[in-house]
Amino acid sequence: MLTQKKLFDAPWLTPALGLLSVVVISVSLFFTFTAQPDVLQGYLTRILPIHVGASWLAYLAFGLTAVFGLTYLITRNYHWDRLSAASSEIGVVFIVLSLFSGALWGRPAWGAYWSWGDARLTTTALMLMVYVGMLMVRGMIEDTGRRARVSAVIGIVASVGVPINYLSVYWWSTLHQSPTLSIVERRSALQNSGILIGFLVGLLGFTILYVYLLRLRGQLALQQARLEEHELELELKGVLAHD
Amino acid sequence: MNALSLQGLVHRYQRSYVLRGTSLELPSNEILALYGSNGAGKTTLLKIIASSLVPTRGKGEVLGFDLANRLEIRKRVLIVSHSLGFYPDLTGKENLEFALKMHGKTGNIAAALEQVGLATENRVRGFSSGMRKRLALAKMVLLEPTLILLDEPFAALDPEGKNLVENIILEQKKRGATLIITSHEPERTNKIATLTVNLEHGEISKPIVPEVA
Amino acid sequence: MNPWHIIWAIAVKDWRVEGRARDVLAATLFFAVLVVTILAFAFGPESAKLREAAPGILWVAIAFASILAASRAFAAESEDGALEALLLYPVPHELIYLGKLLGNLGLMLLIAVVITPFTLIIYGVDISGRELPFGLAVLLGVTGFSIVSSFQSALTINLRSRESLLPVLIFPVVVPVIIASVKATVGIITKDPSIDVQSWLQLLLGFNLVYLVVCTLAFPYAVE
Repeated sequence: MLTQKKLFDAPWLTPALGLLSVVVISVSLFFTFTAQPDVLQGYLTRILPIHVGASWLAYLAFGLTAVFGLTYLITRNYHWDRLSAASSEIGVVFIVLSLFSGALWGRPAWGAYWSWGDARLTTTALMLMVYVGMLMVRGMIEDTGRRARVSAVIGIVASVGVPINYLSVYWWSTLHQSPTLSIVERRSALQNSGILIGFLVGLLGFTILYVYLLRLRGQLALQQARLEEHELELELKGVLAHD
Repeated sequence: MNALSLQGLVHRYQRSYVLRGTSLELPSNEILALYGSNGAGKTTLLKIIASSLVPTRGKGEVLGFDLANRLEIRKRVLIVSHSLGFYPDLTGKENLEFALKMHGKTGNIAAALEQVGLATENRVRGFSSGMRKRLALAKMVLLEPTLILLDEPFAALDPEGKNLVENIILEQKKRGATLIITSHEPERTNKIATLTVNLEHGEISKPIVPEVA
Repeated sequence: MNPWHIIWAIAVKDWRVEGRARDVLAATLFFAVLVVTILAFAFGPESAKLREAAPGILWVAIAFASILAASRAFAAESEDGALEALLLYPVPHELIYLGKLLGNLGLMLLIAVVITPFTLIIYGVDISGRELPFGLAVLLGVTGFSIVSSFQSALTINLRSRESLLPVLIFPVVVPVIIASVKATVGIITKDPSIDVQSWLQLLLGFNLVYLVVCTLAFPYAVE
């Protein structure tokens, strides 16, 4: 049950990844903040690398939550359940950051913190709801087997929902006369080379950050599980030796 | 072929072990009495055999089918435990009809009900616990399972009911079924059991032939 | 064994239980009527405004009713270990989900048959000549809610405070059903050519098929 993946072997790798993500994100911020203000949006675009980075990380985290969950259902190795749980927790944190930074950008760009017509924004908010629900369910089930199965199933069903939600909100908003400037405006910002470099480096930085956090959270969960396992193992051995 | 062949079953519930390496070989067409104090793991063991629970560790075969082959096990094994699983808003007859349908079987429901002395059209909600138990016996008679697991069949019954249970158990054995009975009444159970085991703190003894008092 | 017989037997059993106890039906129907009536006060007395809001109100009522009904349906099953017994029958668990779904869908359609005309009448909406497409939209929408809420209800069975947890799990998933049902019914009522009713109905159908498959396949893992 406590299968060791090679991934977990080198103890220096995790802090190294953490450090690397800080460096890369700092480089991204350097390019972003030294870039010329955008023609259309001025200084507003400087939030984009952070906003898009956080959103990317959140979607990556949720995609992998489902993949890890599915892998658990197939292999029945708790390793994957721990990774799935870690991934969903990370996803929730970054989705909140993504929504928050998006709202800060939306107020000056759209004139409102929130736009129901924006399919991405709405889909992201719905995703947040599903995963908060999933973490609540995790907290309520004590039986480890059932907890792993139920959260894997919720993760898989939720990932199926993301494209369907996006599509329906997109149709809803385009068939209505809602503002759909968002995509055009975001693209225009990327024509600025400083922002573009900052944006691309930021994506890399956030990806490294995800791997770092996943390892950190996964290792913590592994240690918790080991401790529990160890205690129970001792108890079992004690009893068997007692015979 | 043995009716049961279990090796090293370990079951953990939350943070404690209910079964700690239980092994059991049981030949066909026996009546095994399973003794043990409350919380010894009797019900857990029965649930694992009935494929209602998956053991944390260990393997085994039930009626020649691997524990993982649940569909085949469920076709042939019936467990009668404390919660009998009847729908309170249906009558006894309707509950039995449903059980038969889910097994894809047919049977004489009226005869089975008469055998257990339940000639009523009332809903199960109004049944006493003894009447519910009789209904469970009727279900057993109708489904004709190969392996029958009875969790304290004598509890909550009047003397007449206890005799009825005894007769039905013997009749099922005559039909060729294997039975496992948990009980706190060795005097009564040893009269019908062909083998007995003790389960204490999740550990099981070897089956022995009971001494009849 | 014919899978249809199993699905049908479970649904008929549920309907029979409901016919006796009427727990789910009475509570859910009353709740839906309440939602429809209360929202009238929220939107004010102007009849033109109310007529415009009617489809949205109808679907809010149906959505809430669906969650309530699904949560109750599995609660009844967990009485006296019935669910445990149900899962121990030698039938594939996919069929048990489909049976419970059919049972829930039957009740929800019954509720929709009452609540839809009620809403249309008290909000003064006229759909004469368009009853068939309107009925189809209601059927598809109710089915969508039923597929998701039956599934999520089974996932959370036996959990503390599941009543408050269920909406959190169900709503983010059924948003497309709410959007598409409201759009389709508005389109049918107003005959607004800018609303492509057929596309919305297709979206509903697609949603139902995708989730029917996913939920049916995932159910055995959830209850195992």
